[in-house]
Amino acid sequence: MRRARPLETEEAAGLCVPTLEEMARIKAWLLATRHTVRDYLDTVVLFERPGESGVERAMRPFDEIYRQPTAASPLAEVVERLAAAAPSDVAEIDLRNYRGLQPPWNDWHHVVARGRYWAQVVARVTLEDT
Amino acid sequence: MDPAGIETSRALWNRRALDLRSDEVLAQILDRGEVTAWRALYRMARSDKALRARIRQIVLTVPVALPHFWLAALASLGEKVDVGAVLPDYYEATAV
Repeated sequence: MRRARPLETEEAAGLCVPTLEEMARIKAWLLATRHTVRDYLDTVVLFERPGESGVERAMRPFDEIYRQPTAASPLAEVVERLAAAAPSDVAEIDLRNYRGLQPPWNDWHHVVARGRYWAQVVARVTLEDT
Repeated sequence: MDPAGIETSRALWNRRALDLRSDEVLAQILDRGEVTAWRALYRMARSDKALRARIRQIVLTVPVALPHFWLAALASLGEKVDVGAVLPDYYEATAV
């Protein structure tokens, strides 16, 4: 069991899908554990959509949802990976020719700049008293 | 400074008491502390420029487990830091 609670879902066009906030958490978890360019990109793009207050709301329960037996903070790991911007396959992926990405998301420098912005936001969420 | 939440940190396992004037103790908290201790440190750093400068200096020169996390935390407090700075490699620097 990776999670301490079920997925948060909503209905869209007759389908049960994760909420946007839940999608952001799922991608952030993959960034913390799998750490590929795809995970970095997906996390950053999903953070852009709900904006700062939405990301704060989405990520505040992250450590509780993905509770670790060691009491380590997976959210701090997410921040580390967003800020370091060094996914395991970064040398092998050229975003200019990756999965039909559209500007500005086909520019790794732009993705990293946005990732580092979100790292600061999520660091604050991790460290501020609730 | 109000170090409530730090005195009982597991990071101080080899210390008799908390002395945050020591850079070694501060480095231990940054490296091995738990979120409760980190939150207390963050609260203190918010209004303590000298503490923020010490955290920055330690993160830039001493291998800690989550260095970019701490740079991002300092940036979130308004410090001018390069969040993506090249840092001492934790595993290389601590391997025997």
